[in-house]
Amino acid sequence: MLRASSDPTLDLQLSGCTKRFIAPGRELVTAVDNLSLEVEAGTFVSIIGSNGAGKSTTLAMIAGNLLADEGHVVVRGQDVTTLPSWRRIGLVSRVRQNPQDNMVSNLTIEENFALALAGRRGRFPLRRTSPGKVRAAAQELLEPLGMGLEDRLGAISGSLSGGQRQAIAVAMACLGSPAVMLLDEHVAALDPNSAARVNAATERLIRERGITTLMVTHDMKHALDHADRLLMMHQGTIVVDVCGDELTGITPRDLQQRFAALSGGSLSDASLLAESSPA
Amino acid sequence: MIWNLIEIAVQVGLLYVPLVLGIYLAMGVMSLPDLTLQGSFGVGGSTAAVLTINGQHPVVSLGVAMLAGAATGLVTVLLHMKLRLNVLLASILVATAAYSMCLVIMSSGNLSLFGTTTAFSWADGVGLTYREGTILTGAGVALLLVAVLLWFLRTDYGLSLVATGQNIQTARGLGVRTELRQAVGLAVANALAALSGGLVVHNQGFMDVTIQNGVIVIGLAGMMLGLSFTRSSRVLPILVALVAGVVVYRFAVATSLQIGLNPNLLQLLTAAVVVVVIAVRSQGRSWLSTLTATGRRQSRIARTRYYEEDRVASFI
Ligand SMILES: Nc1ncnc2c1ncn2[C@@H]1O[C@H](COP(=O)(O)OP(=O)(O)O)[C@@H](O)[C@H]1O
Ligand SMILES: [Mg+2]
Repeated sequence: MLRASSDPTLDLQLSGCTKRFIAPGRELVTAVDNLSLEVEAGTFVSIIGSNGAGKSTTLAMIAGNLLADEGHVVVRGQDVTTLPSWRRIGLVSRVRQNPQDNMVSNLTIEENFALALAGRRGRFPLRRTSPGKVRAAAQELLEPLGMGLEDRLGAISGSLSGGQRQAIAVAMACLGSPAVMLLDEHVAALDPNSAARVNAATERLIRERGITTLMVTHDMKHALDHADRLLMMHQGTIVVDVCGDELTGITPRDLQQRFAALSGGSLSDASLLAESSPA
Repeated sequence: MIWNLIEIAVQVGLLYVPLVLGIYLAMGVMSLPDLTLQGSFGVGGSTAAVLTINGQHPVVSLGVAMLAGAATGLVTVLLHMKLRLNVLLASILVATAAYSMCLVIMSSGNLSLFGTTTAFSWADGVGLTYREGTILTGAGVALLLVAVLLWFLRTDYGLSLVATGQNIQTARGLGVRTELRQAVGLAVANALAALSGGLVVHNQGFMDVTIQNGVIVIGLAGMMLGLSFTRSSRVLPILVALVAGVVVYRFAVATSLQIGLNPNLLQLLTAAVVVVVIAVRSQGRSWLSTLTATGRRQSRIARTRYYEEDRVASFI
């Protein structure tokens, strides 16, 4: 099963991953069903799918916030299936939808970066990382965003807008160049303008560093235009997987039709997707 | 007379500074409702009493008292981590057990420290009154603790503690082993509570197992008063405000007793202080605005919003 773990060009391998939940009423919900996936280093993967398709659950199993019931998660050749999330952050970083979940809101931007740096090193010593080092790292990542955040390192992060916090969260997630970056609808809580800016900032940061990225989004057009590979999930499995030249020939409408067909013409799911993607 | 009251307030208040800092660390920084602190106060008091009677140096007896407090806190953490017990429930159990532990440590219900060398005996040797010695010792301890906490909470380790108290998921996402931080945070908080117990026992010259009763509310009153003095979220203003809060609280107590309050009503007064401070903080402005129709509408909306956002978490 781990045959490919020696393949150095793969940054992420999921093999037979399954996650079940006991829903209220004691029925068993299979959120992710025997899912296998291999991602080449440096690929920018977009994941789309209706609500409840298992996208967040998949990312959580890679980040370690949820442990897989079955299957293996291998990141850059290392089997991390049962490692707790705090031990995976050298390999995997994750940005969530809610800005409050990505930064410690009563600390300053600089203190958040100090924590993130200490976390990457895997040591939280009884002294302060030198402010110069923290600022240099923060400025290097924040300046290219063009949002003026590098001049506001002393600001309490809870006082920033959602868009600013998400941009900083992506920058913090880039620290130490993790093998895999996970973005879970990280612009979904933002207004369209901020969403576009954070998307642009995100792409610049990960492309510059060549970080392998899985991004969950509801914006089909963005997914088609920017990603190297597109996955569509339905009921805990991957139902569409396109990349390269195939990707450029597809329109959002095609995707919707393929999706409607694959999901057994389930109208509600198809319309949900249509709603959230500006044609 | 007022000067006398202030002196009493400072003298007694400073002895409770470690307790208030411990409560702030557990509840304010770590967001853990840890009632073990009450038991640790008693355990610290009994340990310090026994060691002092056995002729140990005051610093040794207070130091061992702190270790005993930290161990008490760690029992709560172990129940939380190993049995996955809710912290509030675990701490109620441990605080209850700690009451018996005090009796075991002392092998009686109360002990007199008459004729022993306590942390306050040095005043006599240098020609200071007992009260002056108490204030100087208390101020020294408070200053030291504030300085240490100020330094600690700004180190990388301290920041990881703050992050854990704010949002466990976020902290883990930053690479923090949160369960370990909770253990360290509660151990330190309980060591502080035990130090307070030891200081109080040394100062009053006797230990009675009942000194821990209701002590958590005394600490809460000091903390809530103190936090009402500052709106800052930075560490230094908060620590200074906490010290001020507990002194002001003791001033209110001393004044009430002076003007003839029945000592039996003291616990009631303490609880009332907490409630009033919270009421003023959360309702102060809206109470004034209920004089107008729009104001009443606003406060009704605010109340509905609170009920809508209310959440419960099962203990068991
Ligand atoms: N903690 C949980 N407890 C119970 N069921 C859950 C939990 N998390 C997710 N689920 C269920 O798993 C399925 C997949 O959820 P999720 O991965 O969040 O979907 P998506 O992110 O694609 O919208 C849904 O049916 C959801 O109800
Ligand atoms: Mg989701």
